[in-house]
Amino acid sequence: MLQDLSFEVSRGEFVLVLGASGAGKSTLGLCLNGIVPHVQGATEGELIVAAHRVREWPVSTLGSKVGIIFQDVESQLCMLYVRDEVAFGPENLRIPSAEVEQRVSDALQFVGLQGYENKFVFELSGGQKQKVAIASVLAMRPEILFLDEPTANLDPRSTNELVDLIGRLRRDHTILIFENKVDQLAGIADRLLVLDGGRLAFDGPVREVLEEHGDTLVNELGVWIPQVSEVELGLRRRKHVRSAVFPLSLNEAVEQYAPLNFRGEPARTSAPRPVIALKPTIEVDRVGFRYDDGTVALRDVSFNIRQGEKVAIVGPNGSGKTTISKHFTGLLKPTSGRVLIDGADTHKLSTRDLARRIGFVFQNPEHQFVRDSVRDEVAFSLRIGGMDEAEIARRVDHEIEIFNLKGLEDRHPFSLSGGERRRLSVATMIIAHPEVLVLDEPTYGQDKSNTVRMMDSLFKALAEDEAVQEITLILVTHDMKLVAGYAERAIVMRQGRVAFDGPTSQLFLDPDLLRDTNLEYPPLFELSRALRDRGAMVPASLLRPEDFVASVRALQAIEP
Amino acid sequence: MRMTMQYYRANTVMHRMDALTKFLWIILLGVLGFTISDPLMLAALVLALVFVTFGLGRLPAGMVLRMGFYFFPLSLAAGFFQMVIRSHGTTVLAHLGPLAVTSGGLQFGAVFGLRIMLIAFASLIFVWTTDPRDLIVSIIYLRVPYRIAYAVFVALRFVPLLENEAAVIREAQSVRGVEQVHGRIESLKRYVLPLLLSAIRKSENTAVAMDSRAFGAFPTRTYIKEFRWTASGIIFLMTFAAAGAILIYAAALRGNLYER
Repeated sequence: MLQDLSFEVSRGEFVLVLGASGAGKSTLGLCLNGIVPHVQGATEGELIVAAHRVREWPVSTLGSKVGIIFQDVESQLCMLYVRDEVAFGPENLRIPSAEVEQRVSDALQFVGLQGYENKFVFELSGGQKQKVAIASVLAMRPEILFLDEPTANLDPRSTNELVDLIGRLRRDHTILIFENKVDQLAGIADRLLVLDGGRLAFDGPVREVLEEHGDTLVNELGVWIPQVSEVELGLRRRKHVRSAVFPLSLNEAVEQYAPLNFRGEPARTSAPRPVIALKPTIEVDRVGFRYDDGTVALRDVSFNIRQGEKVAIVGPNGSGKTTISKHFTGLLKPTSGRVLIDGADTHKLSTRDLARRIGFVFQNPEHQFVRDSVRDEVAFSLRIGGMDEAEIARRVDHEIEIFNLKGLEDRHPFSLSGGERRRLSVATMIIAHPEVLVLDEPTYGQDKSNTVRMMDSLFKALAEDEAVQEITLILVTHDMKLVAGYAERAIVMRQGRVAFDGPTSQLFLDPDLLRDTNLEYPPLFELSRALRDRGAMVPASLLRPEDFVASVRALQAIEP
Repeated sequence: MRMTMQYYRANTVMHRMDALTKFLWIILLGVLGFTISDPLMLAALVLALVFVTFGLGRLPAGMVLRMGFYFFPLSLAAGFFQMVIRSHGTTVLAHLGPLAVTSGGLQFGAVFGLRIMLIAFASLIFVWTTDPRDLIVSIIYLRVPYRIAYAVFVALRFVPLLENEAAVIREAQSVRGVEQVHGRIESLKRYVLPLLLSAIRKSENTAVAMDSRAFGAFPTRTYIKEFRWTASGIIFLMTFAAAGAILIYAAALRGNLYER
C-alpha cells in the first residue's frame, strides 16, 4: 500500500495530505497510530512517533499518542450514548472513573456538545457524530491527531463548524489531515504532502507546492486544490497574469485580484443550452409525505421539471431532497398531492414502467449491481427489455467505451474501484435511454479525477447519443461546486418545503436563503462578490474557475 | 414491529431498577408460572404485570398493545391446542368435530396459555425497561470478560444498521427492474452479496476504530458506570416473592400445584 515513504513532521505542525483514492492515505494513518503493524499488516523501515519507535510500542499506547478520526464516522462509533462513546477510550486505558468523567465533560465542551452526554449517538446529525468522534479521541489526550476526510459527508455549515474546530485543535496538537474538500483547509495548513500510488509525490509548504505543481496535482494526480488556486493557475497559463502572492484562501485572492481589469459582461465558457421543450416531464403537485414513523418529510411541495432540464435539488441533510427524488421513481408515493411522470400519476404506474423511464443512481452504487460481470451489468436492462443480442452487444460496447470501462468487461462489479463502480452504475442507467436520470450525491467520497471523469463521461454519453440528448438530469446534492458547475436550475429544499426554485446563478444572490439552509456560496461566487465590494467590475454569475479566468482582461503589456 | 421489541427510554421505577434484579424477577415468575396451575391465580399474576407495565414502568399503551397483538393470539392458540388434546377430566363440555372439550382440558388450556403470556410479558418488560448499557454492566459484574460482553453489544448494534441497509438495497435494485426477471433464489443471492460485503466492511471499520482506542489493550478496564444493586429492585423482588409464596401456599391447599 505504501512504498519507500520518508518524511518528518515536527511537533505542532498542521499537515494537509492530498492524494486520489487509492493513494495510500488511510494506510498511512493506521501506521502512525500503530494498528499497522501491531494489529494488522507489516511494515518495513522505521516509523518514529513522539520519539518512540512505533514497532516497539506496547499496544497499550494505541490511541494515547495518536488519535485517529476515521472516514466512516458511522462505524467508528460503537456505543449507545454520547457519554459512553467519549469515555470508551480512557476506560480502556484504565483511567480512574472520576477522571474519565472529567475528560468526557472537557472533551464535549471543547467540541461544543456539552449537554449531549445522555443523547443516543444514532440520533445525532452527521456533523454532531463527527464531533463526538473527535471528542472521543480527544478524551484519550493524544499529542497527534489524524483526521481522514472528516468533512466528506457534511453539509456546508457543518463543514465550516468542523474547520473552525480543527483550527482550535491545532493550538495543542500536531495535526495530519486528509481531505478532498480543501478550499477552507489549504489556507490554514502549514504544509502539504501529496501521495500518489503509495509514494510521496510532493512535500513542502502549501503555497510552494501548489504554486509549482498545482497543474500536475489537478491534471495528473487527480486531486482537488482550492478553487482560488485553480483560478491563479488558469490566469498564469492563459492570461499571463501573475499574482505576487499565490492565493490559497478567499481573502488572499481578493487582495491579489482587486486591481485586475474584468470584462463587464459575463463571459461564460459554455453557455447553458436553452431549454427548448416546454413539456413537463415531472410534475410535482402539492405533494406531502409522511413516513410510517410519523415524521413529516415533505409539505406542500410543487414544481415542474421540463424535458431536457439540468436541475440540482439541494438542501442540508434531512431537508427532504432525497425523499422528493425518490418520488420520481415511485419508490415513494405521496401521502397527499400527486407526482406525474409524462402526465401519468405515479400511483397508477407500475415499478416496471417507472424503471424504464427514470434512471436513478444511488449514493452507494454497489447496491444496484445485480449481475456478475461488468458486461452483463451494463446489458441487464436491455436484456429484460427483450432486445436482440447483436444490438445489445453494440450498445454495451459503446457505453463501456464512453464510461472508460474498457478492459474491465469480465470483472465482477464488486471488484472495481470506487470511481469505476460509480461510472458503471451511471452506464447501466444511461444505456436504457431513460427520459430522466437522477444522481443521488454523485460526488460523495469521490476525489477530483473520479468526479470529473464521471461527469465528463456522462455529458459525452449525452452528446453522442441522440436518444438521450434531451435527457432530464437531476442532481441531488449539497456539493455547491457541483451545482455551480453542472446545473442550470436549482431547487432548494428546507424542512420539507421548497425554499427556492430558479436559475442557479440567482440562487447565490440571496444570502439569507443560503444561511437559513446551511448552504454556502461556491468559493468563486464569494470571490467575485468580495471583489465587487471592492469596486471591481466583476460579473455576478461567475461560478467556475474557467468562467472567472475568462472574465479577466489579459494584461495590456502582454497582449499583442 | 422494529421499535416495539427494543429498549424504550424513560425514567421510571422500572427503568432505574438494576438489570440483575429484573432478571431474577423473570426467573421467579417462571418458577411461579410453572408451579401454580390455578388459572385464576395465574391471571392475577398477569394482571400484576399489567400494573408493572403501566403503573411502575409507564410504558406507552400503543407499544404494549402492538406487542400484545402478536403474543395474545399466540398464547390463545397454544392454550386452545392444549385444551383439545388434553381430554382428561370427567365432564364433556362440548364437541368440536372429533374432539371433545372436557372440563379438565379447558382448565389445562387456560393454565398453559396464561403461562406463556406471563413469561413473554415479563421478558418484554425486561427488554423495554432495561438500558442495553446496564445490561453489559451487569454481565461484566457476573465476571464475563469485558471483551466478550462488548463484542456482543457492538454486534447487536449492527442489527438496525443492516436492516436499514437491506431496505436501501431493495430500493436500489427495484429501480433497475429486477422484479420481472429474478426468481426467489436469485433475488436472495443479489440481496445477500452487497449486504454481506457491507456488513464485513462495517465490522472491520468498527474493529479497527475500537483497536485504535485501546480496546483490549489491558486485561481489565475502568467503567464510568458500575453495577450496583438497587433498593427499589430488592423491594420489588421481595414483594413478588412474598406474593408468590402466598399464591403457592394457597394453590397447595386447593391442590393446584404441579398439575400435568
